[in-house]
Amino acid sequence: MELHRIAVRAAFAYVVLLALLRASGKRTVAQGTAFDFVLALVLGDMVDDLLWAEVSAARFTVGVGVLTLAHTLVSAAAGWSERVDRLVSGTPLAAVAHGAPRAAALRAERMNRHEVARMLRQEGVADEDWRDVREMCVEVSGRASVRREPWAETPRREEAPRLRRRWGR
Amino acid sequence: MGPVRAPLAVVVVVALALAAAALAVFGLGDASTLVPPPEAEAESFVRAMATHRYEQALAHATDEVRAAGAGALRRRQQEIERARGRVRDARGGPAWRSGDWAEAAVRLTTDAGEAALRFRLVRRAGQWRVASLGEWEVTPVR
Repeated sequence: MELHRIAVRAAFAYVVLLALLRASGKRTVAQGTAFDFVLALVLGDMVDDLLWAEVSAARFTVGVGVLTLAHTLVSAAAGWSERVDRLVSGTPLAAVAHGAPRAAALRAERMNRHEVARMLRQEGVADEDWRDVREMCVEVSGRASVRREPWAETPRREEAPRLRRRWGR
Repeated sequence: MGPVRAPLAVVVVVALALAAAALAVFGLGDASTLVPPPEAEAESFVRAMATHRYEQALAHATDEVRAAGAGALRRRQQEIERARGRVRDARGGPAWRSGDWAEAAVRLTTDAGEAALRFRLVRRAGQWRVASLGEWEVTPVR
């Protein structure tokens, strides 16, 4: 297969995908949800088909165009309606509340205690410091977000005088 | 990008890309860069046949072959399998072209070893289409 033809197809795929992703807005693949990942895989496979001339440029364009359009419409609908957003993206789930794992939430997310411990460690919470955690949510992207109990929060600069008075320093 | 403008912008990008592809194929006469070349089309046809997906194979064929229907393709595949056993792999080889006509050989890896089928193709509406059900390039040897 001639190399210059592969180069032309690669350039065509690059320009079309770049233009589509710019046109569809930042939400298309920036959220990092599981479906964004699946969509990225499907688009990648379509590029592969075009690169090796298994499909025509027109078919490639229609395929990636319809997928991007559908995803853009769903993203737009999710932007308009919180109900649609919950339906397509899911909702964050509190896996830990006041230092204790919530069994029902762990079952819903198909997680175990070790996985929660790993996610908390990634957020800077050691295994022996779970009591500092007010709430750990598993976000729709699959990442953890942690809110600490008030006593475990890192003091802010403006709180320094109050804390000095309290500790008598 | 507003919520209404974004879908419209996607449609515009798709329309522009289709226009560019159409210009290349119909305006500049491209027959193997932005459309699959004859050998790729013949390979896709053989792969669909080998996996017994005859309706999919018909999508790579001319209207004349389509008119013969999936039954004709099934019979041809049975002949191939009787002669060479199961087709394990197919690779499109170099093609010969003259205008809107082409011939392409597809090299098969079968239970009985290597063999090649030669296909005639014709260019219709910018796309190469398989116009024959394949002839053995050399007499198959068992």
